[in-house]
Amino acid sequence: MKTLLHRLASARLMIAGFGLLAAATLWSYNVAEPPPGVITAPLALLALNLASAIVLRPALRRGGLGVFHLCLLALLLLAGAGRLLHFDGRVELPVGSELDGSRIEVASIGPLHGEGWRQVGFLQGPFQVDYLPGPRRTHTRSEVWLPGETAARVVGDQLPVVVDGYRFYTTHNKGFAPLLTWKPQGGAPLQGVLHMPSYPGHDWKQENRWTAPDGRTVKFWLRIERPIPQDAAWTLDPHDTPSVLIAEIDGQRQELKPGDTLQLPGASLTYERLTGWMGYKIFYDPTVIPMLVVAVLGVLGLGWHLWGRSLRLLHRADEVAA
Amino acid sequence: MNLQQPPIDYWWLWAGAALVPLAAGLAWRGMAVSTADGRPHPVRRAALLLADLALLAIAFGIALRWARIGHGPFLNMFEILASSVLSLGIAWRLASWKLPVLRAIAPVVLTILAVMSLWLLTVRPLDSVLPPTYGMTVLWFHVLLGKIFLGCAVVGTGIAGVVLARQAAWGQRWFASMPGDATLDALAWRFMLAALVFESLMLIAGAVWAQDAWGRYWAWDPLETWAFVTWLALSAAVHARLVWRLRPHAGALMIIGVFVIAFLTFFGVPFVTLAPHKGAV
Repeated sequence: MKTLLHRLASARLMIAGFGLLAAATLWSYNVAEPPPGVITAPLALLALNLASAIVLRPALRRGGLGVFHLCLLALLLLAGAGRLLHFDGRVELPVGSELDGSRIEVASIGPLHGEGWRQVGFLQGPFQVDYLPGPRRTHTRSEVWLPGETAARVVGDQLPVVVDGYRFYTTHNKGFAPLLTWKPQGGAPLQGVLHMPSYPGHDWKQENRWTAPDGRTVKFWLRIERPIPQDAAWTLDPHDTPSVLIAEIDGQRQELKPGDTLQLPGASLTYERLTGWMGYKIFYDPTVIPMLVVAVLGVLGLGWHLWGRSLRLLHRADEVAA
Repeated sequence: MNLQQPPIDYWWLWAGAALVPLAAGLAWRGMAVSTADGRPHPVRRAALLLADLALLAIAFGIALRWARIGHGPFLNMFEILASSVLSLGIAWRLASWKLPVLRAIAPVVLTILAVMSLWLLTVRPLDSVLPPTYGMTVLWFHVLLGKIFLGCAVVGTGIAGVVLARQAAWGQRWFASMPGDATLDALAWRFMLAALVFESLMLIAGAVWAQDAWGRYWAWDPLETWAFVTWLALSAAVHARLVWRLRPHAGALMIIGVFVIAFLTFFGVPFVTLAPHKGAV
């Protein structure tokens, strides 16, 4: 047992672990889908090596060096826990709609994460996006209303709203959402938004289709009546964007301005106004803050350990220089 | 920017960059010639003076450019090279002010800076636009810690270069005034240990920045991957040096190996990606 521990704690194994991890990192970066465990295996080997060395060598448990190595071990364990508990996803929310789990697209989820992401909710408010000439996107300001709060929170690309530990960031992905009312003769009106492609990324393709409750398919094109400035700063605000919605149904095509109604046999379709939708990136990892604390503590420990040694050596070099 | 009439800040940057190779040449010349009384030849002092003038010109150019375009030199290759020549030069000059013996590593350090300066002169100068994610305070810490890391590494590499040069007869003659190899080896590793601390802090600050800049603290983008490989190489080298009794020239080779990886990380990644970080712009 003791021999095994000595072997696990060997310096050669540590150097081999560093080499393996570096090779695995570069290899996994260059292949499309690296096999699971390609990074984890050398990390686990290094964790085992470090834990064994801490057990066997008292010097690695003392002072700043001890703090550094223990923090390094804790960091490896936290990173592993983070992968088990993490959640990455995205969602596209029309202005005025509630976030619910069914809208969320899961990109990656840890096996121990659970179903908490289905319970997260807020109400999407209006948003504006600033552009520089080019156009180059700069700041995004998206208002969201959290349950029970009386004031809106403002979310941006680098300013998340955190709901139950889930961090929501705005993205480049956003666009227009014309608000429509479908009113069948003698029936209850139905209101909803059309989700147009991302803008201005797909400004040339602002089209969508919708199947009405009576089975008829309606094709839509959205024409923005204000060209994108190429040499001036501007702000994208769906509520302040002049537009014309072109609807085609049963071979009949009509241009609708906000408030206009298209009369159809047995129903009417009203273009109420132009709103927008915002795409969010969702991130959840409960180990992030503990990892930050442990990492800073570890480096401070290393700094503390090296400070005294460096001072002694620099003194010696001074003497040589003199 | 109108390339027919570059703004004045570019001229300062180009002038500073042009002076660095001259300073490097003078530094080598200064080591090759000796005075009758054994004191440093005046050419060595001239090399240091020229290096300081070059750094001043680059600092002035960066300041003028900063005032003109409204942000620091963080984004494109021209900016990163200019700010790195300045920060590495300052790191070495501060170290040699504290430890005068480090003035003698001028030929090695200035050769590294000269390579970067010549590269700077060949890079197309372009004004950059700061993305909103670069407007975060923690970015300053990330960049500053990265500069200090590479600054410590370049001083360690300068010392390692002297140890290796002294394997040859001409090196022994030119760098005879410096302490013995064992002392230089210990001194070089102190700078590499400091580099390890600052690289670790740079990675932490970078992760904090990335979390809110791009919604993730780590995503293995090219720069993150190479920065991590650099950290691994530096950690492995430090452990090898501490665990085994390596001869100074073997330690010097390891230091230079680590510096090459760090150099590729800082300045080679732009060859595989358009931005310092994927998705940064």
